[in-house]
Amino acid sequence: MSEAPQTPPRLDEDARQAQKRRNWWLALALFAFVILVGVTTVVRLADSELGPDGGFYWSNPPQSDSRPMPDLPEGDESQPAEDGGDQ
Amino acid sequence: MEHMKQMSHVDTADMTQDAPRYATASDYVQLMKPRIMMLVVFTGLAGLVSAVGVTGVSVNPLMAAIATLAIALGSGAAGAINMWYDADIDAIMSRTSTRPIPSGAVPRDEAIALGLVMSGVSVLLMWLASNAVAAALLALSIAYYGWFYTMLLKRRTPQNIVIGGAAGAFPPVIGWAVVTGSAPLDAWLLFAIIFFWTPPHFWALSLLAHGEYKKANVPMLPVTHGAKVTRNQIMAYTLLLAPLALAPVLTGLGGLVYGISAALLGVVFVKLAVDVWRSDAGAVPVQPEGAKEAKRLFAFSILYLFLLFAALIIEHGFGAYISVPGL
Repeated sequence: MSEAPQTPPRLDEDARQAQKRRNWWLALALFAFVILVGVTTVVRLADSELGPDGGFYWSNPPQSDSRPMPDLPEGDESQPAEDGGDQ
Repeated sequence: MEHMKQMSHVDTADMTQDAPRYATASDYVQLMKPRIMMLVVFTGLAGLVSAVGVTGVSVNPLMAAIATLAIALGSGAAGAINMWYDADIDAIMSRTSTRPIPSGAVPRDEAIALGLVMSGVSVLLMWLASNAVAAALLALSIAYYGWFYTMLLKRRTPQNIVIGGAAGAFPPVIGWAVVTGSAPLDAWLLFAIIFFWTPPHFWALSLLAHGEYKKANVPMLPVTHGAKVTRNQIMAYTLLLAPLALAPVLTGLGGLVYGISAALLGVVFVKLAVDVWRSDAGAVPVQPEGAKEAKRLFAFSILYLFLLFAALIIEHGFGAYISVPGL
């Protein structure tokens, strides 16, 4: 009961050439788009200050009410850390 | 107007010529209405350059170039959507019958696909290169032309190009928003100039081609209300436009170069509109003298807008701004 598979219409030489040209233009357009997006991203990232109040991708709002981190207690630097260290 | 709506969905296979014609790159460029695109890009660039000059905000030149490209792509997208929808009436009018869809070079499906994809690409690029406000304005202008004007207004009301004229007026506002992320009064003044320029520009053309519009059942003003009413309307809008074009001088957007240009160009525009108003342009049968006056006004209207916005670019882009004494 399955339908016979449809064969695509045969294209003459002119039609095939036209199709090929269109495909090349399409590929070129897609490539140009990718390049444009890439260049735009790079330039915007380079221009951005990457600070808390500016920046293109790093746009966290400034935290005016944030308190400075407390100083860590001084430890004995001659002893290796118990659970630290570079693994 | 029901019959007109029905017409809009006829199969374009009926329009194609006997011999198959395969699309070239040029056909796809034509689909994007390149001449309109040039004016759109130019006015958008004028808005961008003016914003830099007025506000002092700097913009990365590469980002400005990509934003301008986005405006061009957006204009092309709207043009493709317009040609997709209007393929049936384009086939009827001899002026437009050689366009890519009625000539059979580009299938309608490809035209709408191109229009929609380019719409998305242009808005995305604009957003990436500038900001959300400019991208939103670009999206709005594409929808305004491609949907509101083309699908709702054009075949329904003789005020189609008055209301629809706003679509072509957005570019300087978009250009301004690229720089500042906002659209202040000065940007909307430029919008208003193009808005009031559109009716005399387009109606001058429709006085020449009203027979074609009638054949295609498009309710242009000369078809629905006659040539005399159209000539009166051209005169009225020109009298509004000429002083309005001087308004940027009052806000400081336009300097001495712009002010003198706007004044002189305005005088010529009014003179040519008076010539059309006094002529029998649009009369049936066609009167050569009247047609000549309408043609002259149409040609000058393009030059008018080009020179007006060129004056802004010269002032703000090339350091030629001299403030008008006493203001």
